[in-house]
Amino acid sequence: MVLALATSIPGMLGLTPCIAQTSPTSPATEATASNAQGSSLNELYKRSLEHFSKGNFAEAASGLQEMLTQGASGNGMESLHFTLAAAWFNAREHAKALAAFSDYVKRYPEGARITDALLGLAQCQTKMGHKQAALASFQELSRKTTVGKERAVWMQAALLKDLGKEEDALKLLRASLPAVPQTEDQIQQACLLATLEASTGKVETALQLLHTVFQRLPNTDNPLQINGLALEVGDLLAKRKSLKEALRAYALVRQKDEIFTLQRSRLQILSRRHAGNLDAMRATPSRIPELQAANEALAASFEEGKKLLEQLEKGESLLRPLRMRQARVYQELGRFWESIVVLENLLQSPHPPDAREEILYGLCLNHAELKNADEQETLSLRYLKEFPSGKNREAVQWHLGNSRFQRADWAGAESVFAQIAARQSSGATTPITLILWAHSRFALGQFASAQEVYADYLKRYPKGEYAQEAGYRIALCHFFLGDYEKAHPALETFVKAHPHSVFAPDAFYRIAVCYQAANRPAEVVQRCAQWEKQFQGDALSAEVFSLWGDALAVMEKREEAAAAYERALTSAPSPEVLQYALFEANKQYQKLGLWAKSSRLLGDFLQNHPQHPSEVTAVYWLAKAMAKEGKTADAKQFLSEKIAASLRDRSRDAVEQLLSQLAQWCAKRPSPAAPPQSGNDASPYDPQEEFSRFLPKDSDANSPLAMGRIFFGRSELARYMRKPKEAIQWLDRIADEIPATALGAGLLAQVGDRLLERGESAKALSFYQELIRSFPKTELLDFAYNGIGQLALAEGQYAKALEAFDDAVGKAGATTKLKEVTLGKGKALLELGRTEEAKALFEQVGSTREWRGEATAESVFFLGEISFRKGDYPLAVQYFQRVFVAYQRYASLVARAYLRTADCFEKMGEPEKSLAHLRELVSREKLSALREADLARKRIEALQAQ
Amino acid sequence: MKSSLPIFFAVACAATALGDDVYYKADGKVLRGLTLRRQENLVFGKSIVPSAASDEMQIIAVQQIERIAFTEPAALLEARKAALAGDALAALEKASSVAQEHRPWADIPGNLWREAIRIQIASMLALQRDPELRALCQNWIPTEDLELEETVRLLSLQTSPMEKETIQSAYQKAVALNPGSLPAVVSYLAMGKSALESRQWKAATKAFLSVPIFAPHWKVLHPPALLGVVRAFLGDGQRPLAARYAEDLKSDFPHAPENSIAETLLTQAP
Repeated sequence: MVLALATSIPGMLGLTPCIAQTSPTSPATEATASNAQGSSLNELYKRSLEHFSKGNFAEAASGLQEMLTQGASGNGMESLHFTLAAAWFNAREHAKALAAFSDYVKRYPEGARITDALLGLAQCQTKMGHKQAALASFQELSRKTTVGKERAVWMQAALLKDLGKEEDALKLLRASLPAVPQTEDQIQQACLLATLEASTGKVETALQLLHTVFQRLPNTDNPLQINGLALEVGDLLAKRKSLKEALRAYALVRQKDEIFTLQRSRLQILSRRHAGNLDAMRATPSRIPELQAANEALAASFEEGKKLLEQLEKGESLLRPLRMRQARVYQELGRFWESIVVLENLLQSPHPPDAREEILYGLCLNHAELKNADEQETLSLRYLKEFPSGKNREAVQWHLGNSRFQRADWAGAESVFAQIAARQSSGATTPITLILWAHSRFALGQFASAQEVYADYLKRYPKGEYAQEAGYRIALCHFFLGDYEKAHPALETFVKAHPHSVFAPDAFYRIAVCYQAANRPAEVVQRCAQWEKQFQGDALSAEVFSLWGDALAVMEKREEAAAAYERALTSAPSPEVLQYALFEANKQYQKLGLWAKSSRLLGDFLQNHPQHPSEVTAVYWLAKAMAKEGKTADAKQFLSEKIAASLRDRSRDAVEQLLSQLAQWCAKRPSPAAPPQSGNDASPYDPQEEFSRFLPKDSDANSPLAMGRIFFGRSELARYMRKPKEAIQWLDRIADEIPATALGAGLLAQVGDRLLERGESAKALSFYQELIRSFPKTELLDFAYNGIGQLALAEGQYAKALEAFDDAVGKAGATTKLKEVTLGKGKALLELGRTEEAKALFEQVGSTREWRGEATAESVFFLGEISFRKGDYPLAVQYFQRVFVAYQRYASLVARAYLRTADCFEKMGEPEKSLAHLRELVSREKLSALREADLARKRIEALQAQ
Repeated sequence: MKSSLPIFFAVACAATALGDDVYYKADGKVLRGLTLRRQENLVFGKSIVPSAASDEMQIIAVQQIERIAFTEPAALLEARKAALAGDALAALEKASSVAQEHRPWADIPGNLWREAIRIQIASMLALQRDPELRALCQNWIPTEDLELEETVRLLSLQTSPMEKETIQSAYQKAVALNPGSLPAVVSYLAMGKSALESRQWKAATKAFLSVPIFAPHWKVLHPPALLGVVRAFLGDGQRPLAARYAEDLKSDFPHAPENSIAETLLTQAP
């Protein structure tokens, strides 16, 4: 930007003065020297002005200087001196410009351009670093003149600000600025004042000024500058933590399009004025000099404006810096949702990659603050995919890991922390990363590897914030690994070193558990008593009393054990401990035959915990206790009431247990209170009628669920009456008449299995699926997974079967169906060609004493099958023969074993033996009707024909 | 938007006395103190300031008028003030009168109708005066104001039988074009309402929050937007956040009727 000859242009670094030159007359034309010299000077002057107008300021200055050297003189000398100074100024020769301006001021103290010269002089001083001198010049100027005063004040204030004299600058501007700035210089003053007010904490004043300046936006020379001012003031306010006010400042920033339109319409106005002046010149020739000068000024303004417009077009929009600032301020204000909205807006508009990285990072942080786990997860993964080496990668990963940790996604957290730890040698977040990593492994049950990380933490941060916990967790890892020999001393060492640690109660308790594991109940009792003394009232009390009870039970001190369990019940236990202690105490009373105490215990429980999940089980045991006390009729009545209360509640599946108990009591004639007078009690007893007497009335049992449960009760009654066919018929009625969606977990499980038996695969599957869908937390889930596995097995979908059997163990714990699941898994593995794994499972089933029976027979058969498939026929024969020798009860299996034995002998080239086994199969009466016997007959015929 | 005729045909014989306005002609002449009357594409003006040149009736073609600097009526100042305070009812009352009075000049640069009609629309939207908005859209006469045209188009979409996705896409386009404009604000509110209906609480939160964030100047629409935020957070089970925005509503717009609704919602929330 340059000083123009005839126009007013906002200048360099905001300090350029207005310098104008009226139509210059060549000093040479009036020179007293020869005409030739005059002509040469005239030429020189013209050339110099041409250079000036083309922007060749150094050449212009040299030419003008040459004129002075050649002794130019006359009326135009004042103009020449001023133009020379302006040319040096524009050529950035500030020392020469200073000398030239000083010369002008000295020669023409009342000159037409004295104000501009003084401004130029002060600016040169500023540029040359003579700030004090510049300040004095500005002060003198503002005292001397009114014409350039506004600009002088503005420049002086800017200089004061540069010199760190902000208060002086403020005073100066406040005194000078009118309420509504009109001129460009006043607008500049207002801009400067707004930033000063903002940086000195006059928040409202700064915002007021900003608003005033923005109202002038359509009429200002540089709307870009004003737009930028809003960001500047906003930043100053944000720096001073006036965050809401900063947002108000940012809200003023206009979009690029808007500024573009403003600037374009301003150019149109300038162009119109220019054309108007041309018209006026044509109409009134006497105004030509005045209007020509004005038009030169307009043309220069137009050019400047055009440059700005081009700059604006090419330049980056303020949108991104604005939005990033807004997002940051909202975040600082704790307004994370607003920050998200702003960043998402930015994400949807065009932006460079580095901005995208910042945006995604900001979004991750905000969602982390709001605990929006799903969004955080998605965004973090997106960030890590797009910016694998992004500068915020580590922070994003850390927050991702932390979020997964907080929502108990241990495996997810573990993998992230492992990645961070592998990359990060040491940093501010390393200690917490290590601890969370170790905790994740601990929660995953990976105790050995968790121990390694805790140990690494302790090695690196022996006095770190989490050192004590790491030490304790190392001992706990031993404990959970079942390595009590190491856990015990480690825990003892810990409690000795940290007797008052927050982990001490837990450590003391675990030591007692170690003694219990070592079958040293006396020490357990002693430790529990010591624990009670030291940590009375601690949250672990219920667990400790329960353990105490366990130890006393081992010592067969049943009454004391029951008392300990009862103490656990009154020590704010967790639901699991409450259930455990209640039924363990009950067990002790039952073993002691203290039925009254059992009744009191369970009665109290039912009164205090009416909605407890174990309510129905407690009712069951209470009723049993009542019966044992000889109050069977009361017990039946009690059960009847409880059944009626829960009959239509789908979530109370233990109600079936009550129905089963009631059926059991009703199946038998009740013992008479007194022996009958005559020999036989001839009064007829109808168990069905008795059972019906205690069932809810029809009106209470008209829902599908209630009906299903009553059918179940009748099935149980038939079973107790040794009428198995009738029992099955009632179960079939449930399967046929009640929809799966109406049944509770227990009936879904049982009826599902019944349908499986009936070979109704699709329907059985729907029952199992309903069980999984509606009762995801029931203990009976293994029925569903086992059933699904068996169905898949029958359909030859072995991989699917294997998955279901794995789920039965992994997801459902396989409490009831472990035998079936193990056997099923073995079959699936065998069919998938994984014979060694299958063999191990069959051996396991075969050797489990508790599973003796058909499962054992089946496992022996399949061990034979494995040998057969391996080609080891003699061994296979041994297994098959064991089946038909030792497990004759299981006809179908025996028949299959005969067939397979025949196969083996055939393979071994002994057809006679093969034939003999087939004949034995068909000759056995129990087997002759089986499908396998038919097969045997056909093969006998074939062999005989051979 | 039934008619596509230029505005000066549609407002035939409209008469308005406006007083101390400054009237700039395309030929550079500036006339002050004219009383103006509009009749189709002609403007009739007679100066109330005695002067030899201007005390006679002048008839000027609309095309010859570069701009009229209308004197701002007190009602417009009051409407602006009420809108800034979130008082939609007062803003609507004041803005409607100005909009009606200045309607004949809507096509002339410098007209006040554009601002008045914006305040009127925004206030109607804030007050949920759906039948009136529908009527306004149905009787709309096209202008050259692209933003207003877009606003009316988007408002009309709310009762259109178009596919929901098409409507949503129109809203999203408006938001992308200029997130602080009146069409964008109309879109945020409609998107928020739709998200609330489909129980997409987070989407609703974002849509409603966009109003105070990107259109801080459209204060008259902040109370319904903040109420929308309260509803969305309550729907999402985030009571503390809902309470926070209800508090914002109360402190920023203490007289807004939305306050009592927010309070009731919070009381009823679990």
